[in-house]
Amino acid sequence: MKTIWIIDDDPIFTFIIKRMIDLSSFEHKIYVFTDAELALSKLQKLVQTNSNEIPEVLFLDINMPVLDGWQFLDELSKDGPFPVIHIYLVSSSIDPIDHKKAEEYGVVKQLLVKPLSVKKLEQIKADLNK
Amino acid sequence: MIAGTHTNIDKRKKNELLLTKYKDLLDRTNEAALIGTWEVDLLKDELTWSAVTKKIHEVPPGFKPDLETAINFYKKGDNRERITHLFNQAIQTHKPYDDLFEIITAKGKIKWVRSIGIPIVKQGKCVRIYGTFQDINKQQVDRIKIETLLEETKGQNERLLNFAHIVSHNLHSHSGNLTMLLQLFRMEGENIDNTIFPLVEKATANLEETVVHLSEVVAMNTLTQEHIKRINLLDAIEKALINLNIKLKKAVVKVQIPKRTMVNAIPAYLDSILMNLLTNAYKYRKPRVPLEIIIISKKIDDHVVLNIQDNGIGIDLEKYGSKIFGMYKTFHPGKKSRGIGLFISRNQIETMGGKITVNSMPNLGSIFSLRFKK
Repeated sequence: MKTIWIIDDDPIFTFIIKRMIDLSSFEHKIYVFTDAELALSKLQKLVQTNSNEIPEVLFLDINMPVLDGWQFLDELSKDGPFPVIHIYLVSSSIDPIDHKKAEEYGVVKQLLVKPLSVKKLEQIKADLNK
Repeated sequence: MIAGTHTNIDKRKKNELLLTKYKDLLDRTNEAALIGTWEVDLLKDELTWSAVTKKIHEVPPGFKPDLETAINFYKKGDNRERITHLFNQAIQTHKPYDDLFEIITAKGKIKWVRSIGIPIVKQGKCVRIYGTFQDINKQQVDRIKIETLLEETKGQNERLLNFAHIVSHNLHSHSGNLTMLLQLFRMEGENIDNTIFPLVEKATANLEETVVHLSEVVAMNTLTQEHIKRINLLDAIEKALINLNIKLKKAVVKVQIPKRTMVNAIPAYLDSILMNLLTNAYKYRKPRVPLEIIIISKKIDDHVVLNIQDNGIGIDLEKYGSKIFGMYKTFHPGKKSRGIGLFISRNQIETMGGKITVNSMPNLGSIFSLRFKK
């Protein structure tokens, strides 16, 4: 079964996005990580073994303590070719620097600014099949 | 013969008078500039101070200084150690010095001085050191005041950046969560068909909007001149037009910009300004008239001026001219105006050392001019 990973240190937001995904037409299994380091090491292992458990979609918060979204991507890209994952950065900031930076990271599909909506998730779902 | 002698005396007298005149002038200049002179004869072990030097030390005109008392006027510690070292070095290695010191005058006042010493060497030996002694207390105190002020401002700026971060991130993430929770509540909840729930939704939407405005305003102070880069103007405009291609699908857009036009700009700000002006052109287009946008650039001296012209509804500048770039100023009822876009654009272009101006006539359209450094 295809999976979606949510990496965000805000438990209220992870609750919301999980519930929104449930309400949308996604049929993925959802994994939530509030600890980015833990998520990173788990993902690195999956990538190394080329496991079929590598998530199809990743919602990654930019602003997190210890390991932020950018560092997460940097660490992941150190291990050679980047895995095929639809990566959506999620941020509540409208800081133009973040938008510029997101453009520079080729692996990022889009920078989503909170608040999200079920409608927006449906768009993402539709993009997956393109 | 006699006449000749007379002439010589006359000439010498004239020269003496001239010399006295210049000496007098120099003395007065030195006094006004608070520059004293001093001289140490190392062979005779004699120190002489000029009148101004004595005045700076606040000693009476008859005061007879010697080397030891002179050094002891320097503030104990770093100042005295430094002057001793420099003075000895001038004697031994014949190196002149020029440095700032704090002295304590005979009346106990702390003063900043600039002391210059120049060694005179005869047959490989330093025989004399002369120099100037200048009271720079006022300048130095002012300088220190300015430096302290600058430090304080830096601190305040840092706090402003923290504030910007709290607003643009923390506050926004809380209000965003609220908005999303209400959305879920509406989708899943029963019994929400009362009067209060729509009001909570409205209040939350307002809060969200205000937080967005607030974060836009504070975000604009986070980028500075250091982020300025050389940017190809045509590329930036083409990018903005691609981003808006859905809105501008039916519009006629003419772009006349030489391919190699470069401007000094902060990339994120330039994008934001172009998006804002083009979105405005779309938003304030005339109903039932095809929208036309003309984008032209021209070089004026060391500037590049970019004109964005539309055939929209225009603005009455006589009524609103001074307010158009202000915050929360809107001029067209019924449009979804927020009164923040042009305020931000103006701040952004000014941060880049440029300018924005507008020319507009109601019912004819508007021309926004951006001035960039080339």
